[in-house]
Amino acid sequence: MLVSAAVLALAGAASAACGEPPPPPEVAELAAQLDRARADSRLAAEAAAAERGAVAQALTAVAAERAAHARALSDELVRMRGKDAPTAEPTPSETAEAAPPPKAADVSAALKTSAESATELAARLTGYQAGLVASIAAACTAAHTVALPAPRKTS
Amino acid sequence: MTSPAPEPTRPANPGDGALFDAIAAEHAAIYGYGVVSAHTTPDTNWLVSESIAAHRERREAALALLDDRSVAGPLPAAGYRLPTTVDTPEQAAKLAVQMENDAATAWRAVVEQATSETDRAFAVAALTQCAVAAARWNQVLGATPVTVAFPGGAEQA
Repeated sequence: MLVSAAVLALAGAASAACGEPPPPPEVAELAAQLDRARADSRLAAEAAAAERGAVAQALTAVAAERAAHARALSDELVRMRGKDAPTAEPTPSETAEAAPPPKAADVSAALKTSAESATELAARLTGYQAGLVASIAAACTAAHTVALPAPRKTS
Repeated sequence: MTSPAPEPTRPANPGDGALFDAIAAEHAAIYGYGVVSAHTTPDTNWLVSESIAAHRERREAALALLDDRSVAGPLPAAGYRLPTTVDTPEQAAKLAVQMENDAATAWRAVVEQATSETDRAFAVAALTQCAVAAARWNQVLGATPVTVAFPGGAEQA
């Protein structure tokens, strides 16, 4: 099967079979974190568009933070691989026009899963990568426990 | 917050050194929360208590980690210079945010320097708890957003 060089470069981890040494396992794990960050950012932005006031503001902040996580992870993947970070997996069904917009609770649930995934991964990585993923875990946890639930009532 | 160089001497090993620094940051936070406590309003007492308890618990656990390796942890300083004047509930909450951020930075360094998964997992949890506490204090301050993209980190948000 003939594929262009550009497609090979975009194929990311899959291109390892074509003569290059296999990438270290951290590449796939950081790429998975990158996909999560991009998906969360998109989800939060969509939810923010359907909300108003403080909730919309909090969701917009979450979208920006997850986008910043995606940039930092992408930068680290470029450093590790010496080439472009893998592109996000296409998720056309998620953005189908008929689907109702996500709610803040959906974003909170996605952040909780992302926080757990990053927390678990950070302990297994080392050095800067461990630090970066740890900060991402901390940010996701703070976002879903403090920023997105209803404000605590003061009695 | 600043204090004279801690006693005993900081260990040369990077992992132990980072843990030593994190314990020193926890000592400072425990001291600082005494000041915070004196100036906060009753409706934030729960957050003061929760925060100070978390810092104490982490300090003891981190000291135990060093002790397991026969490394002496830092002693609390005799006194600390506060970064700003604290006379109002708002200034107290700002000091709390700063102390949580300082501790987060120290714990992120532990995550990066640690050589065992156990230490790293402990430091990741500590960093996360500091980030959550900082967000709660930002909420008290009415600051938005309440969270930051990279708690304890220097990456561009």
